[in-house]
Amino acid sequence: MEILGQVFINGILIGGVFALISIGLTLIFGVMRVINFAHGDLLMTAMYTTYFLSLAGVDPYISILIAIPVYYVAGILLYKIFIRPVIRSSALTQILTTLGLAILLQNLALIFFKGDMRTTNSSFISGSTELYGFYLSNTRLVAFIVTIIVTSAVFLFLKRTWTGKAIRATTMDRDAATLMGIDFNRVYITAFAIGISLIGIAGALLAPMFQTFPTVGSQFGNLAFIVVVLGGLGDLKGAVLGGLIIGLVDAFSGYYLTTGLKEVVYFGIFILVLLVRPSGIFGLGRGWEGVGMK
Amino acid sequence: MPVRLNILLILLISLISFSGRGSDSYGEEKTLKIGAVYPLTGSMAKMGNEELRGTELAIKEINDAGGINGCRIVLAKADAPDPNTAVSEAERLINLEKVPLIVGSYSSGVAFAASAVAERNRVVYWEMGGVVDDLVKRGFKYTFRTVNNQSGIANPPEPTGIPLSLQSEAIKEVIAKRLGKDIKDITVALIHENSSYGTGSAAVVNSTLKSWGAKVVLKESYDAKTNDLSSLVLKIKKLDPDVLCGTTYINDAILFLKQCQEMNYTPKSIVFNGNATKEFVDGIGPKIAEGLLTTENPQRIMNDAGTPGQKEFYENYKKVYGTDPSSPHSLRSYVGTKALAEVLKNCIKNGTINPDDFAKAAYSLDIPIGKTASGWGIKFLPPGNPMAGQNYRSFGVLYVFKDGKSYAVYPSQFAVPGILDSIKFPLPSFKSR
Repeated sequence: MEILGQVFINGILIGGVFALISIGLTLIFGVMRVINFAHGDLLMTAMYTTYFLSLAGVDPYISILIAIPVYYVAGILLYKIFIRPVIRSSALTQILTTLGLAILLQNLALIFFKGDMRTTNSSFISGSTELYGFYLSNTRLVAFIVTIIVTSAVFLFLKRTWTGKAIRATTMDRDAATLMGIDFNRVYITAFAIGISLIGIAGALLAPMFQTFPTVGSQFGNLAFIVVVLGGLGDLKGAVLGGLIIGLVDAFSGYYLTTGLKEVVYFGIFILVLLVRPSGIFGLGRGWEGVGMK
Repeated sequence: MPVRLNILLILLISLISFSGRGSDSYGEEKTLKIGAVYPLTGSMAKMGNEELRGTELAIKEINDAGGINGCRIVLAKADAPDPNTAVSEAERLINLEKVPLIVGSYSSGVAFAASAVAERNRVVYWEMGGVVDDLVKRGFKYTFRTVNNQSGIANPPEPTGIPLSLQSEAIKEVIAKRLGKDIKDITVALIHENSSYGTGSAAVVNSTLKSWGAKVVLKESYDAKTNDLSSLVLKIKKLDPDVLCGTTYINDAILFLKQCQEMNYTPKSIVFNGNATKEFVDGIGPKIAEGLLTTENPQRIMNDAGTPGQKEFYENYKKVYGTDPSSPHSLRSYVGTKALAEVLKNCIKNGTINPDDFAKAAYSLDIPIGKTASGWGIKFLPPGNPMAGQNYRSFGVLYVFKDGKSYAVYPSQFAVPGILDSIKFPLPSFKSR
């Protein structure tokens, strides 16, 4: 029983991490129907940002406050340079553009930072907390809490504010929204920049947990896609629940089967979901699964 | 008058011979150009550059000492991030740069491809880094390898004392003795990443341990790119074996140890594979690293008596590059290049080499163990052997971490005296550190 509880806790906590790396991806897809293949590598740059800030004496958990505005501005620039030119093009062009950005970022990182593994340490959050005989990893606990807070904040922003409503209106029908006087380009810039700043937050939380190196993005990128598709592309709650499901599957199959098989199990579930419900568990149904197609 | 003329003449001659230095028109100063194929960009760039540094340092020393039989060595460098580029670069070196010899390469894939091109063109290929067994199993006449091959040599022509599985040997000779147990009573949890590297290595450890009667209570693989090993930690914590033996890469090893800490579990003893690096210590911190055993290529710090020139290599390296080596790769290529110079001494003629003369000289090279900067000896398996051209006197060394540094503890002739005795087994709890 004790083991069962501990495995459950570990599953929920790593699930929080999976959700954290997925919300930026799902937001950008949900609003713009652009699949951002550079997602993992942008996460990598965010981890480097955290690392270099920590060298300058800024604790990773405080660097979140710097990462949000920096990645917001970076999001605006990336949108203007890479995304706007292809926003009306086919899904294939968009995919190739973001894929190109991914390769560019990875190789720039290799040139500037070399292949070294960097370790980011936080001075006030590490180790674990013991609670009724169970152990909770502190870095993961914080990541979990921040994920819940950030997701709720973005959710409320989309539901309650005018800008949020404009974003949702554009998501539902871009042409109609334009006719209602919504400047879809501005909406896209805002949504994209928010999505990228979520990556900035995720990077800051991941850096103390994992090593930072130029190809670390691929470790998270693929997983984020699975989580997002499982939860339903474009759905924020879906990303969180998808993350938790994958996390629990990961922990339980790792303990009760073998660690080497856990990827097999969650990829199996992933394929099953795609077969039975292609739009994902929380997807909006037919038409929405058409990955960026117009 | 004639005496003064003589002096003048001598002066004149010596002047000419001095000004002739470096120019081809004067026959006295010869150079031998050799090719160097390394991954200098791309994902293997870091290790590739580190290996090249060892080669360059050795060549600098050789040239500073007047070259080989008066012949200076010039390195024609080529960047080969992958096997395809290795083929085209090897061809360029051979056809355009006209090199009679290519050295390399850190990567097994690069070595495999470049050596095939070299063999076809009757050019010698000298490998100092790539470890895949098959490199020397193709019956090539001109391919030699100084670094130890992946699975070791089961039946060397003479007893070398080099264990086939260093990790198993560490469990038997170091851990079991320090825990005061017979090897038959030792319980081992074996974890390994699931690529060919981890799987192959763990299989050898598993069968060796079983043949000694040790109990392998868990053998489990995982994907090295995994983000979570907490379930594996929980399993091992429940079994609480005497030894945790892991064939890992660096990230997964760090993740595993971090999650051990988080789950409040300290293995009684740990022996990893190939992790005696600064990155590893930085990753988990020197306190957690304390007392961990790991196998590694020979590197600082070893017993100076068995590794003549190692201390000087590290001093020199720092002088030339301004930093310490980031990994053991430069030492092994330094030793390999120095051995190459010994071969060249016996076969270089008029600033060039004939591949058959070279092969003959290479096979007769005989450096005993304990006589190079890495402690390796150099003796190639003879023609006719299925792995002809493979050095059977090279080996890995067992290290222990203490105060953030790694010290050799096995084989005993390379062990730094007193280090092992200062480590407590079973390891003190991570929490109390």
